[in-house]
Amino acid sequence: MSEIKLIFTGPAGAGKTTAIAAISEIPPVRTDVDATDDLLAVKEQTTAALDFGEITLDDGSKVRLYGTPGQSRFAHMWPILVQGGLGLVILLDNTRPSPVEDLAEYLDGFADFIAETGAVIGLTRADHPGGTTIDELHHYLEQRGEHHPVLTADVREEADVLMLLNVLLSLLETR
Amino acid sequence: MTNTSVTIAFLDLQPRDRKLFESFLGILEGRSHKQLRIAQPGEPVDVLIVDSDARPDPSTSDVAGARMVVFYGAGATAHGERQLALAKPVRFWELQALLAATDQGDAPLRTASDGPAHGPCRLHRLLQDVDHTRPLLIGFDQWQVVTDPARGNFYFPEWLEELTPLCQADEDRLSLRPATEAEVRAAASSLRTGPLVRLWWEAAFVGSQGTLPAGIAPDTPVFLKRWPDLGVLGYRSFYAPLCAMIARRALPPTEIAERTGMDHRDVAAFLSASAFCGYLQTAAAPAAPAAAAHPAPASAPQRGLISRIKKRLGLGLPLAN
Repeated sequence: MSEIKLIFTGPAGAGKTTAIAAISEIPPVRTDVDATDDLLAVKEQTTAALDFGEITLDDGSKVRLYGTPGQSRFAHMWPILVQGGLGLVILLDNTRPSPVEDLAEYLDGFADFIAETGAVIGLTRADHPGGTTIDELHHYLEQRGEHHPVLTADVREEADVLMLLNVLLSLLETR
Repeated sequence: MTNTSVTIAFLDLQPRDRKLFESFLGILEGRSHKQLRIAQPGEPVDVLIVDSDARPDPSTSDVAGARMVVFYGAGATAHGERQLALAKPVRFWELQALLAATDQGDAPLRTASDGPAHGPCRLHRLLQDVDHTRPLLIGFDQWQVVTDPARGNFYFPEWLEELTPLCQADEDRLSLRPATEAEVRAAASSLRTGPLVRLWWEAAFVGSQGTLPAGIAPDTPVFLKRWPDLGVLGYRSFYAPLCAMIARRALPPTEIAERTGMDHRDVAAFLSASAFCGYLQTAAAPAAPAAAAHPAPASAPQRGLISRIKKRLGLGLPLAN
């Protein structure tokens, strides 16, 4: 049976682990995954952190919740991690220097997967002074010719995580 | 005066209906900072909900002592003051409005289920007559709400966290005028702050009373220019499937209701709010909004899987179509 997956991505500290923990039946497991960086010809193996959680459906099947390593140097892993996935949650941290640039990175890195499935974008710490606004993120999406839901979310709140997933799953249902 | 504790009793409700009410009440209790309790025998009752299909003509003794009586049924009608009618099945926001009505003291009760006296009601109607892109001071009885479009905020007294009483208030309790910069600054420093879009959305959603916005007929294709920020609106779980339905394609309201299985009044209220907040656009002919190519349609097994995931997460009913 192929794996059922929902993928969470975003920069470190955006709230991937917290979001998974909000709905996972098991405490999120952080797994170090071996990763090599061919471009830098690194001789030593480097590791990437991967968060893992799961929920059980009424027939006993499991839905795996994966939080990808967010750093761009692990972007070569992203297409492998999302194989067979249902959809993508992109979490952006509004305290970072440029959430718009972060968004660009994830939209580019997961472009094929998003085109096949769907994505929802959650802006965390949205009230951070001087941060990016929802309007600015939408404006950027319009420049790219893309049309994704962008929502303010506090992933410490289970209701907000469920809202993000409700939006993603509704998108997947109606495509 | 705000009631912080509300006791509720049921009379002749079917178990499924009672469960629905109790489920909604559980959610509302968390949002409204009220204690919502099922009344014990002999305890005073604030709200008595009577299944009017099972008991169409309750006796005086049946309803004696209840501060408010709600007749709940297919063709429910209210018979006097301190009585309301709710059609089956109850919707979350109707119950929300009903509880807000318990704050109205002994004033005659009205909820969104009542027919409008003069078209779209109250705050929403007043806002349509003014330039709401400029700061406004909204008087509501002895309280004030101030809008600050430049900062995207509105300022409100703490007890108005749930906006329903404001959005439902009769026009004779409301006043509207431009706010001065000094009034905006004073409000910003002394009142709570919220996103302005939430006030506009709620005013239009409630104020529409289940009617479509001007210029949109039941067969007018509409689509979302962009997704509303559901994280800052008074979120209702059915917003997600409605937004998803018209985010990638234009559909008429009748088809939206049919495909989602939702009441046409809920769809109309959603479209009214979307239009008022600038998210909605009509299409001359059914056409996709400017967007990337659509992904392949979800297969039936995948739709079944998504429904099961939604059910597991408590995310509401699957789409009808």
